Amino acid sequence: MPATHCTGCGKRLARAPDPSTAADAPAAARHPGHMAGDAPATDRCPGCARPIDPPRYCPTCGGWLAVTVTPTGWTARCRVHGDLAPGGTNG
Amino acid sequence: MASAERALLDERRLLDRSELEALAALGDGAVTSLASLAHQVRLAWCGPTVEIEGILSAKTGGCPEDCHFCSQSSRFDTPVKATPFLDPDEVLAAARETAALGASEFCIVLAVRGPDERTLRRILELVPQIREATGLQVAVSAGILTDDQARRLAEGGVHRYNHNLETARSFFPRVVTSHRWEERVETCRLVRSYGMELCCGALIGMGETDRQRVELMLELRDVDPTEVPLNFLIPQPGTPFADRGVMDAWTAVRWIALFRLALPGVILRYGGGRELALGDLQAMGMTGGINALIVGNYLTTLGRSADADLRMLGDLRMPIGALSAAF
Repeated sequence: MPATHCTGCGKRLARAPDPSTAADAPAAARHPGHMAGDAPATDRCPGCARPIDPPRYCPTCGGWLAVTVTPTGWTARCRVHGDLAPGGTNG
Repeated sequence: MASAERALLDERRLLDRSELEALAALGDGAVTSLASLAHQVRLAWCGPTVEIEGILSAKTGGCPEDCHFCSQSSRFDTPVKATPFLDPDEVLAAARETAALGASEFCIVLAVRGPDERTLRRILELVPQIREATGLQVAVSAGILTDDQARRLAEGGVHRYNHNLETARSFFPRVVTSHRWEERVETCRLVRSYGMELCCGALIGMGETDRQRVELMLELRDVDPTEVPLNFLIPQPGTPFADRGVMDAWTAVRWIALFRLALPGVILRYGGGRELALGDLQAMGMTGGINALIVGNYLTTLGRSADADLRMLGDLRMPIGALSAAF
């Protein structure tokens, strides 16, 4: 499900998601990940694009995510929409 | 600078407050010289080895304390949601990740004022499991301890206990009001009294003065830590320090060097905020006094990739291994 809400602040995104970057990527229970590079985040509004932050809000509903950060990655789960996957949520 | 070099390398004596304040007052043009001396001091007192550690927030958010820099305080409206103690399998998986990166230490961190009985028991169950599964030394950071809790953690095999002073005594009331600086010092004392190694860190860039940073160095010296993690403020949305700036890279290099010159024998670890504060100058910290780092991600924020750090250490010809205090 493509992002409609910012994962940095939970507010509705002002622009439509870019289908080339926010499309139906396969779900992953665990995201290998560190700081983002210079590429703009497609699931965040401009003021929320800190490279050091994992997603904090569900890209589908803007609700809080339960986030676990580990040395080599992170997981994030929405109570309503399930695990966060690249480009959106599973549910 | 010459007298500091003589004191630390020839006489092997510690610098006093006036000497440290004089070094701190040197202009920006002296930073490369300070870093060079700090590197020589680190090699002479600690050797070339770099210690790598992974950390995990095993219980995130919901902390009753009001540390003004922290996104995990329940007193502030931050994006970090409270989550319960992770399952043992999740903690073990993170420890295995850490071991696979070549680390020797794994720290379980909990956002609590201090551990309640249930939490303490869970920690004590995890420590031997992690050691057996990974061979890593296990460190714990679970806030303020009672005498009995410190004893049980030591007997339970905790190698190192983290409890940061964070800032100078004179600045502490502007950072934390829900507990006293002296309570932190008392926990540090208990940790050492039961034979655990003390990891006691600093967080700089919160608005403290240069003189207060020197004050902190001397206070750290008094609690006698094995390890000092040096953190740089990451302004966290929703906290009282959200609008503070990020320390600039040259200032960060200066203070890394000064911490090494003040604490020549400690394990001085790169902590949180280094990516933001130092940017492309992170290798300069490694040749300016640092001899340990937290690899990968932090408690609630992402770090740079472990590959980037391991490549940096390889490029610098710095061997990786376990360290203990030099004196």
